[in-house]
Amino acid sequence: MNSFLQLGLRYRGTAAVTSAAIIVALLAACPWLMDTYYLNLLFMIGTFVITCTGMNLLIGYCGIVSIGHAGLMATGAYVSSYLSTQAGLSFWVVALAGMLMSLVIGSLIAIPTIKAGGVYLSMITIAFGVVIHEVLIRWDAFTGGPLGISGIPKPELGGYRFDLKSMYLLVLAVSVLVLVLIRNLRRSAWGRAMIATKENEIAAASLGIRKFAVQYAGFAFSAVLAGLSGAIYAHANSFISPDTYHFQTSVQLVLIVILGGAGTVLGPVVGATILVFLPELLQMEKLRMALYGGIMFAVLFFLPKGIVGTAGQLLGRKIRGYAKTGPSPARERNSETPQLFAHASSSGAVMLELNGIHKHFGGLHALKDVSFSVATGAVHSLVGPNGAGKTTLLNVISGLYSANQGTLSLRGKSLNPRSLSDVTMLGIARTFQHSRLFKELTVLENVMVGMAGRRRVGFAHALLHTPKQRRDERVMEERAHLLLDLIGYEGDRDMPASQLPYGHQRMVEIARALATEPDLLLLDEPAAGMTAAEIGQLEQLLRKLTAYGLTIILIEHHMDFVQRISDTVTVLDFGKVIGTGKPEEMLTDPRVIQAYLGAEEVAAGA
Amino acid sequence: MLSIQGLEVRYGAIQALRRIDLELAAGEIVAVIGSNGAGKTTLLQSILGLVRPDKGVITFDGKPITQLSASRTANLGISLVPEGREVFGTLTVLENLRLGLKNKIGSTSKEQFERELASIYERFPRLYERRDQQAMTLSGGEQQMLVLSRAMISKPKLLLLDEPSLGLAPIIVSDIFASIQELAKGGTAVLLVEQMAHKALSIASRGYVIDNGRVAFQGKSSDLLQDQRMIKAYLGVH
Repeated sequence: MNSFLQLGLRYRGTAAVTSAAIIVALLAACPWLMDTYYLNLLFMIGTFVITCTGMNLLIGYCGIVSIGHAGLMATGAYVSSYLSTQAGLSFWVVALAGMLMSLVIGSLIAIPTIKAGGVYLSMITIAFGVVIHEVLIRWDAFTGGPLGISGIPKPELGGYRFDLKSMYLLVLAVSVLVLVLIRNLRRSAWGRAMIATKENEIAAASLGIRKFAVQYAGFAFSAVLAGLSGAIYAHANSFISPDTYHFQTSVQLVLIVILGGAGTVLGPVVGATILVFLPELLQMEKLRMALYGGIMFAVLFFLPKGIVGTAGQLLGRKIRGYAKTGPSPARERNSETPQLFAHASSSGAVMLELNGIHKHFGGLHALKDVSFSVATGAVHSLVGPNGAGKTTLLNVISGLYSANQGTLSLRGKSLNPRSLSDVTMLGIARTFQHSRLFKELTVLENVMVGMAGRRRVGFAHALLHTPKQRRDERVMEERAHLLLDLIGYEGDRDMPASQLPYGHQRMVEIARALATEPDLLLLDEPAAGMTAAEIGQLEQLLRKLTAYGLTIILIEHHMDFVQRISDTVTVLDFGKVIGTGKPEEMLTDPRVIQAYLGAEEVAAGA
Repeated sequence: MLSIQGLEVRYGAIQALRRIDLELAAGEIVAVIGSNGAGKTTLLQSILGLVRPDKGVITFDGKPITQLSASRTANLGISLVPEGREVFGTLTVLENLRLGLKNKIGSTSKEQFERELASIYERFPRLYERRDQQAMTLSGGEQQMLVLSRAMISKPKLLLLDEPSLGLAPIIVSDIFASIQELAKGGTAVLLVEQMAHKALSIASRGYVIDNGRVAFQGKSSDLLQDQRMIKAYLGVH
């Protein structure tokens, strides 16, 4: 059964490549089949596909909505046109210059605003688009003012001068190339890191992923593509003016991505085709903006995932391009876990030391003078009433909060000050009380995201799908499978994480945390929502992990489980440590019974 | 009060529930037990109308509710406390509790609400201490107390509970189970999905064990607590 499935998958893959090749071949034949009018429209679609594929990377993968990319297209168009008309440089040189300038200006917007993110970033891009449009109108000397630049020469290559047909073929080739690059990127550690950061910034940072690096890469690449598209358009059209780069154009770009389906590789193609053809068919040039508004309404109401996204859902197959990470059918189950945890340290030594930790939230004193130390290789449990500060303490250790007072040290080295992703790189990993799996990613990809902090190839490697990238990807896949074997996950590994039942989500989250190669693992109520049998499995897993030399800090309310698994128990109440000791001592302490267990529980457990 | 016959739910190719029959009387507590992915949450969701069944009939108070949407069933007096603490984060604890009255049939007088409030605060002093705090600043367990209280204050006819003990200190779990019992004494029917099978069966009159979308077996709580299959898979060794 399974091997049939594998065969089907492979067949489907080949079928997709074949049909894509046929479509591209048909499109390449268009110049000899169509008149100039339609060829022009196809050319326009191509330029939009180039820009919008970058926008798709930004909106669909990074979750950044830029409403100013027309300004970046204008940058590419004007810089290249100025250089080719004034300095007589060849198209190939000026296109590169246009892309570079677009990259520089894009970076100037992105670098200061990515941290702010979300709505602020969108507002900045709107402002940028408006400012660029004004600059184009007023800076006569460079832009030619409202009249624009005309007489832009067509590209030349070895004495051959391009005409509309060959410009169209050039755009077709570039569009296909760009789509392939984006598809490669989606199936790489970069793509996974982008989606992870978009879905849940804190969880991504806890896996060692730096939001800035990932989102800047996305913005920069989209700026380069916008610049390239602008340069190609200018040199095909031989005339550009500020009108082309109005605010409306930026809106149109966003609409193409959303209509087609943000986060789907082919979305921009579908979106651009519809948005270019529809106004022409309906002959409604004057009502263009109203038409766009109407389409936007319709899409958001009826197709929130866009055309390709919704079609993909309906067909039950993932055009979205979930990485094809299907395990080879013959993959052997390893009972051993070779080199999964390379740098386990000797047991007995102190792994983590907390000294006089205080944490305030406004008037709330959540942690008061918390001190204890955690031995290497031990399971150290934190128990206490709800609201006692257990999770707050975990957040302080993992770097999500910084303590107002007190010091933490890991293996004798001070842990402050630092960022969330730095803490992960130092060897601390965590799970969350509420599963924070990345829902758009598959189970296997979720685990692979955990490796993105340590093992991510260069951006160019990811785009080009180089041998190094492929090798890396194979290694990560294999490791991810081993980790899923280790936690005993038997289900479908290529299923989107959103479809996992709750208990499995918790287990996969542990595998993901382990993928960061931690020395110290922080687990926040891992057994919540598990059956007795499942808790038994969890217990086996934790014993295996400590045998590998990992140290575990555990928050848990299942007392019999805590009693069996813990080497040491620290009890917190009202943010203070009531005591630290062996589980049998702590759980029979009268203060603990009174504040936390209740007399009934003790009677039942006995 | 609630009767389910031949309920089937599919998600695409996956059959989540197969021929489920279930009865629940007013004032009765019935436990639903099963491992993760067995279909327990789907069962609750299809009763409330969040999931459309493919086959089968659900009647509530003698009326068919199989095709009703969640807002309609809520108005009939069915209340679901979902797994995972859905509080309104920027509202205060007190405001969250007030919202519990929103979907109550008829109206509640101010004194009545104050009385309800007092009994909730008595049960969960933590909520009283934090009554003017934004709900998102509560710890996970405190949020769970809040969600439960919010459902209880609306005095539903049928209360669907999905893992109420999740993330709660043992002493609080006992409190919560006591409140559930009290609510049932007042006539509310309670369908209790719970992983702490031992505790759930100790307050429930009957239990259904769901495995792979089917009712694997069912019976009186006292019998289930002795059942070898139960002890092995769900009760653990005590």
